[in-house]
Amino acid sequence: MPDQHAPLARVRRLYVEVETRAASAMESVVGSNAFGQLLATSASNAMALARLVNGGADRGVRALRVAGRADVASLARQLARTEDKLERMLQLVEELKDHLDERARPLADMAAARSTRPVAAGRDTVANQNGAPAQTRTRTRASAKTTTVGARRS
Amino acid sequence: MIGPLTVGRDLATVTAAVVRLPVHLTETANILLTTDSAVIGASPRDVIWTHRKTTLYRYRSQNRRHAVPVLLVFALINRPEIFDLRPGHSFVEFLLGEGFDVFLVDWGVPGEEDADLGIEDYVCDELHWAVRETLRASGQAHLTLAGWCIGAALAAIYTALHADGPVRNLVVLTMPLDTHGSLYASWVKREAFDVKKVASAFEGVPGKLVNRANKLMKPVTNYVTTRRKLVESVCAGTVNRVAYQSMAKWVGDNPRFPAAAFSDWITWVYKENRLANGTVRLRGRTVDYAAIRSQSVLVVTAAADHIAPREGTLPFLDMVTTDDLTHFDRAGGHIGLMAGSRARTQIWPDLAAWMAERSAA
Repeated sequence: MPDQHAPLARVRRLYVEVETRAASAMESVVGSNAFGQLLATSASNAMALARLVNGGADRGVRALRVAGRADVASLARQLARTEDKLERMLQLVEELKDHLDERARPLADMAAARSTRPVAAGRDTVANQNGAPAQTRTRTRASAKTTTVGARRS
Repeated sequence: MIGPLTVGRDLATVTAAVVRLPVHLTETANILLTTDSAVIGASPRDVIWTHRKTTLYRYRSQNRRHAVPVLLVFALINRPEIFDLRPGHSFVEFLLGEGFDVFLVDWGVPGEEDADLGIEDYVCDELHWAVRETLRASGQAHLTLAGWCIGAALAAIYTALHADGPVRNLVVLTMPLDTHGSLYASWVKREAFDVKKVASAFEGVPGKLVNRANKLMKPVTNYVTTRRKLVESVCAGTVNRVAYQSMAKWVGDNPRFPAAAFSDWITWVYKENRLANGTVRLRGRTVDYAAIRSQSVLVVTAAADHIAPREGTLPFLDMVTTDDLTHFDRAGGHIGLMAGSRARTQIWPDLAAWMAERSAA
């Protein structure tokens, strides 16, 4: 444990006390009405000055037939607006797609239910011609089609 | 009585400290100079959606146990990496570990071309669309909206405007609401502070200026005490280099506050206290917090918060009409509450438990 009476510890303690008091005093200062007024006026002045300087510099650049900050910002703003429109359009398309998917779902369900019925014997004829055993199988319409095509290719 | 032995020992201590001083100062300087290389916001994530400067991220996880996704919203000042500060000390990482599906909306770094983005654009467009994309990506109908600082105000406004919408749980962390009598209000409320002129000078307010204003609220603490404590911890050999650098890097990263949003925020919140009075209107609709009645609401305040003092947030508890209302009041400051060294044990588990109870399918 550090010795509380060592010179360095004493100096540190004194310093921390000064700092704490200074912190408290400064917080009172920044919270005062006068400081608030000074800060508000200074901020307005600084910004007005920055505006003047920036405006002057920008006019100088534009006089040289080079795009200034305002021109670049204006161009970027136009791009941003285009992006806004594209985003709204995309959302509309997505909503329409969701809507269509929702409407198509009952039809797809019906089609799937129909296809799970036993496949007609005539469909298996192709397979029979290729030497496969003739039997009644249950499969989906899609897989039946694939089998048939595959059998033709072979 | 001071004997020769004591004097000799003191002299030896002082000499040793003086001899070591260059080493300590060099190490302190090294910590300060290499802060920029600190790694923050490192959790793996995927971009889900972008619009202008806004990006919606989804954090990768193999451990999603809760159905309802969490959308994190941060302020327009500073960057949202504070939610994912550093590996081993990240709220995002913690939530992922607890089995949440975590999304983050990042407002990006606005440029001069974004000067026209106002609060209503952030709430009614950017946040609304981020919510939409979160739901689409997660395949869920509801979400938990968790906002911090201005982000909390945006989340609360959004929830109030979409009272029958997808927000199931609303979490507001250190949210500014009633600013009457606050230090910020005393600075900007006066006539000399022409908010429109200030905002338009740079087509937005430079982030560094906002940061300086924040630091000016406690000048000695922010400009002197922090550095002094760093030097002391280096001298004592207890410095946590990674912790200091990650926080310092985050504090120093200040994007521009878009002109329209700055003007709206200062006028509505500080000059006219409209959020507390219930007179904010966005796209023709009044923001009425009383409309928040079917959502679960968690309000978190920090006892030592000087940016959004607890007293300024508490009226929110009386404004919302939900039956499921929880208030956590914890020790800590505006940022320290959620990102300080004790956050992992003192607040994150409670937040996760509260959300988990309300995140079933």
